[in-house]
Amino acid sequence: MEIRLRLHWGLGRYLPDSPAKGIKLILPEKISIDELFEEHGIPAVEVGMVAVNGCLAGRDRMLNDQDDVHLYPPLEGG
Amino acid sequence: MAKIIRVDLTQKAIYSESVPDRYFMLGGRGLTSQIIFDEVDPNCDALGENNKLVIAPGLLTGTPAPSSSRLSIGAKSPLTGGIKESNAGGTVARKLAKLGIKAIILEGKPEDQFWYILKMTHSDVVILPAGDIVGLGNYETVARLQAVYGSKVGIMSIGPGGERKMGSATVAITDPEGRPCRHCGRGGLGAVMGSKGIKAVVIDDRGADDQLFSIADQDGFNEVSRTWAKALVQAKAGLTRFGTASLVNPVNIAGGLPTRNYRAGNFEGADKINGAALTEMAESRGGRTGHACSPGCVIRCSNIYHDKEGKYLTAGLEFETIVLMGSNLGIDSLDVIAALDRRCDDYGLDTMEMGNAIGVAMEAGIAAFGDGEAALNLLDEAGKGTVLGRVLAQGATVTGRVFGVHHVAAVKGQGLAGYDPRALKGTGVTYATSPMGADHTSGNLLPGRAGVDCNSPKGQIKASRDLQIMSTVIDNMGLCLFVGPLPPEMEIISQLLTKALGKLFNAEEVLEIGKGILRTELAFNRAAGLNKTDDRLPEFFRVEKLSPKGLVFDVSNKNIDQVHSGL
Repeated sequence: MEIRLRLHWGLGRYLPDSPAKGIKLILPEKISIDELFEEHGIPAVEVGMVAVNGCLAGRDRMLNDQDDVHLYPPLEGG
Repeated sequence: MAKIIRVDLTQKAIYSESVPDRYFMLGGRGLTSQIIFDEVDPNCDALGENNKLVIAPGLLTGTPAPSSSRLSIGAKSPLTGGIKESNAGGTVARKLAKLGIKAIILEGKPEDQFWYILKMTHSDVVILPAGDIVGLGNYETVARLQAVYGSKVGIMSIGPGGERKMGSATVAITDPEGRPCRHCGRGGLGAVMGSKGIKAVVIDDRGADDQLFSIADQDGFNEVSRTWAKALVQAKAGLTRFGTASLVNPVNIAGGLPTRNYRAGNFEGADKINGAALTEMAESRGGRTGHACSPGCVIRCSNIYHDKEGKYLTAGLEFETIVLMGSNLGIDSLDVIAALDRRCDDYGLDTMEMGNAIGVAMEAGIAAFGDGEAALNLLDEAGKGTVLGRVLAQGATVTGRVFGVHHVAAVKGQGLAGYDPRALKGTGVTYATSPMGADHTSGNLLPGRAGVDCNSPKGQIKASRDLQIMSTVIDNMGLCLFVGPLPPEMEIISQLLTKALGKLFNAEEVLEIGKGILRTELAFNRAAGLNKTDDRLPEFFRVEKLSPKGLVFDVSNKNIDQVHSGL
């Protein structure tokens, strides 16, 4: 299956060549957010918020084909 | 030698006092709150002669510590009826530190009807007639004062909102370019300054070279500061590039973006008002992001926004303004939001309180949600001081009462700050329990903070408590909250204080400073008559499901009452 992944703010360093609008990834079926972190060397502790298709998602969320995944570090500012 | 400048407006007398030893480790919010606790009757009239306005740079202001030039202003609030501190960037805090002024206390009340300015230099402090700046907006006020005293002075001023003693009145602080666009915005402190008959305070630090906080190991302090500054530049690159508007998308995704007077948590126009949109708009017209609002800031989250003709319109367009003047009013035009921001800065009114108040007015049918022109007109009513405008400028709570609207997002009389507590439940706990009223800067549990799920009630009590303590520490130091009110930053502050004091000052002792300040503020509020029934969010947050997720605020009141227990 294929998803689009976008890493926001400082997390971009874990996919240094990805364009600003995110990168398309080919993944095996039945993969969770946590497993996606492992697969791409993204330290789970540095991720503060996960959004899938515009909604907050837990880390045990199973991904589906064409999901739009956004990862944010713990948010700051305001 | 650090000093406190006391200005008795009844007698028109000025005193320079030494700083009591017990204030040694206090600055910013810690000092304003302690002086108010020590000197102000909690039951006094907030706009009467017995209230005092206290102005203080932070403990670390004037040192090489990065982003440490915040200015705190405190008083008993005419909006909340409790103790209040509001802080801002700008140039004034550092200039006061250079003058060796640890605090200014404005007390008493002029018996005449005249307006005054206070002028401070390294050699004297004088009270002068305000003359023809009375009645002017902050921009013209500052321009005229700069024409007399020079472009390099720092200025605190009030606009018509403060002169009329409105509950949403601010104190404007000039930024490094001399514009009155940084504001101690919350709690109606501009009204307290107005009640003292002070239109502006002019600070001229030429020839001054004092230091508020003596440092035992200057080289060591400088090294910790340098290392921290480098880390902040790297870690805060997102804030530098996109400003606090970068929160629009994630808070919208979390379902907590106040929309149409808190009737929804997700705004269909979010993409038009988010960080990327703001950055593009600013840069395409000759403005910019990455602007420092105060000297020594390495995060530089501020921005300069130009109008369609490429002329300066406003600076420091922030998340809370964008949300409460934008999505909360159903407005998706950054140009309209920027124009509303400019007017608020000029009239000296809090963008958050006015965004809440206009949202309530729109709910009452005074104007339609999404009608930017109507919102601008309503703000102009406040600027002119019409009856309708004065109702709005007294804030959301008064506006709700006048128009019979109970859907008012406020705690202790102060409007919420741009995060819906049904989705950001930890921030909701802070809104309910902070001695400051509904104030996000007192402990903002943004998504991802403290390892708790912002949509769940679990873990929010401890998370809010911890963040309230650490945020108070940051406010005491004069640091910008964006350095991070979290355990790693408490450790860095402990390193700085260890170098400054020449003896070990551990992170636990740093936290004790914050706890002590909170205890003082809570004690003042209790004596002022505020109690647990004031530590409640409006009922609709518990019963009205927030679309699109159907969330309600479901942290129990029993747990909320435990937030400050054992502090």
